Amino acid sequence: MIEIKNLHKSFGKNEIVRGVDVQVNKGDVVVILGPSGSGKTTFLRCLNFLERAEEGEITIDDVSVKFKQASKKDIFNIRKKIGFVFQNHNLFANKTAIENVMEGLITARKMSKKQSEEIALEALKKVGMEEKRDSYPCQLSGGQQQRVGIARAVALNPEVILFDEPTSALDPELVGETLRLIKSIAKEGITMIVVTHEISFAQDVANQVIFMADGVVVEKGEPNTFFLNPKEERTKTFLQRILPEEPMYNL
Amino acid sequence: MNIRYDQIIKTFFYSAHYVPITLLIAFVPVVLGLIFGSLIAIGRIYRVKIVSPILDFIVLFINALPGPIIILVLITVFNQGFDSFAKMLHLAIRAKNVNVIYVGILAMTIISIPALSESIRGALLSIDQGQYEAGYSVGLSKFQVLQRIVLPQAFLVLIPTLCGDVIGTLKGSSFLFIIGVMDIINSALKFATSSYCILEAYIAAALLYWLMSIFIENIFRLLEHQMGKHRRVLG
Amino acid sequence: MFEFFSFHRMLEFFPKIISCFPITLSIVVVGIVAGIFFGTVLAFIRIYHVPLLNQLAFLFISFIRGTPIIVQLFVVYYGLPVLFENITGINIDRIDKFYFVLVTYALNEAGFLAEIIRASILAVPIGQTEAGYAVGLSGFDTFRKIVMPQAARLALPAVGVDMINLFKSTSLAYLLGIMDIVGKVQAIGANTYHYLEGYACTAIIFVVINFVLGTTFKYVNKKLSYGA
Repeated sequence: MIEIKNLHKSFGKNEIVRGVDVQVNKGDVVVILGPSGSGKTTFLRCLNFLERAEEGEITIDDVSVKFKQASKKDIFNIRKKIGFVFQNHNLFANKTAIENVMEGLITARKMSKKQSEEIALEALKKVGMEEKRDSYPCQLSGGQQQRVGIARAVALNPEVILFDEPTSALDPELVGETLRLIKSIAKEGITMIVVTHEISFAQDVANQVIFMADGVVVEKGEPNTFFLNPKEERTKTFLQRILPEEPMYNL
Repeated sequence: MNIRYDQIIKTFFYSAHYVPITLLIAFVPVVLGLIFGSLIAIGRIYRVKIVSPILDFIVLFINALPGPIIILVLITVFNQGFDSFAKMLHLAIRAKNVNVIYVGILAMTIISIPALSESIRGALLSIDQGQYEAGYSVGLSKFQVLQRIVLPQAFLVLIPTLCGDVIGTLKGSSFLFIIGVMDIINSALKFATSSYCILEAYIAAALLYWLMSIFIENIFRLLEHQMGKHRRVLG
Repeated sequence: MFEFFSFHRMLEFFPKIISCFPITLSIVVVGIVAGIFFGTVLAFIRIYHVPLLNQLAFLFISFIRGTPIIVQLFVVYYGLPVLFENITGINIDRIDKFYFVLVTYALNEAGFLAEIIRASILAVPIGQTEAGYAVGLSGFDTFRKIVMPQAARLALPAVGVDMINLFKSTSLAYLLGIMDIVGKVQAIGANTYHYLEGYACTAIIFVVINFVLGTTFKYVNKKLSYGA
């Protein structure tokens, strides 16, 4: 059970996230939708302390940490429970695919090389990249890099994996296969929070949809109710603009 | 008046004996510059409390001064102040006992540390923020991210600049002939005084420096080739 | 401590030292202007691989970049008269040392700027030239109106750094007896046995130059990059 209460984050004078509450149950797939500038990416990055929120609290299972007063140890413990997949993959440029996945296990979790290699290989198999285990990121395509990035987060076996617009930087033809991969991981019961523009993914895979605009949660609910019967005006305007006549791809 | 080519060659081989010591005078400051320069660069990037602004000032101040000025100041301070300083510490050593080469190396080190610190800082800043963030997100500490992810990449970026800095230190150390260090220029001049062939002496010295620079450039090119394997896109 | 260093003396020396700044400045100006001119010629020779000249240019640039300025100063000072006499029979020994120094710095700048200019021209995407031809511009016009402005903009940061370095390297001219700011300090020191105050004055001057040039170039760079 993951709960975030009252997250506030400003950059200079602009308050980007203005008090957001989110509840996530184990196995949930939460999709956060919203226009650019709504604060959804900032919100996500605050969760694992890539940005430092000014107010609010995060509770994972029974461990509660206030964002403002979090100590280094608190941050370290939270990061252990959260996996993060970046929009720009951010694979370690000087390490091979398998070394990328092993890095957190060896250095942060202090596992033995043998053990971490086994886990890493399993993770790479799951994303279909085990053949490229010894390739460097510059030798991989964008889609392949993203898959390794997903393996890197999965291998850590966290309580929840955060996806920051995982397909926004990919060629259109690669978006589908990446989303399929994320869907298959979701089917294994891994808890995830996904910030994305891909509506079909939300319709298909999510069991909770959150719509954010101007730094607040405008509406949230199950996909059916959300897409077919949105309550707020803002939500309706947003959906009108982005919902295609028919779903664009069948996952 | 004609150029005595035989003199050039003779001076060349005479002064060539002093290449090792000239390389040493350049090498020590560069090594110290890398070590302390890295610490300073990292301290400035992470904005370590109190110390950062002081480091900013020191680096910017020393980098603004020409090498010869720093060397001249140091040698003047040394000549005028060393004896009283030593007496204060109850040491028996006197200025005239100290080999000027140590003063020279100290001067080059003072020049080299801030200069290299700027180059290293540039290389570190050129590493995409995403690499740091990815490291944090898998649970690495600041130190671990630096050590395992960022510094290896930064070093590779640094290599061409470092090559220029090393050659710069080598050329800068040539000024030390002023304070009496027996390096390439002084040995060439010494050889020349007997034959009045000053031009030939300087030409020989120039050729020696030129060859050393080419040698250093090739070493760095090799180093970049070896270390850059992870950057090459195959096929 | 008074014997060692005195602010009073420093203030006393300052006007005398700064009065020699024009000499320093003239070396820099001549160096940069001549350097840009000859450096561009060298850059073109290298870009278009003009036979024979290309190899000579390469050797020249390598020599300039690989040898200390001190050595270059003395080689030009002692060697240029010899070269002149052998070629033209004219004796130029009597010419003011200052001109030898100017020649040395001009050659030095040409060597360094040649590489900067060459790199910046090559950095302009080939597509720009192709587009120029495509809209009907001649080769010369394409270069003049499209490539050169962009290359100049790309070169500006490096030229700024080079100019600051040129200022710093003029501090070696005093070895040939040139009365620039450093030369003046040596002259004062020889008279009064007080060198440190003079060096402190030059330190201040160099820091100010660094600051002024650095800020100016930063400002100009920003203005020229159209918010890119």
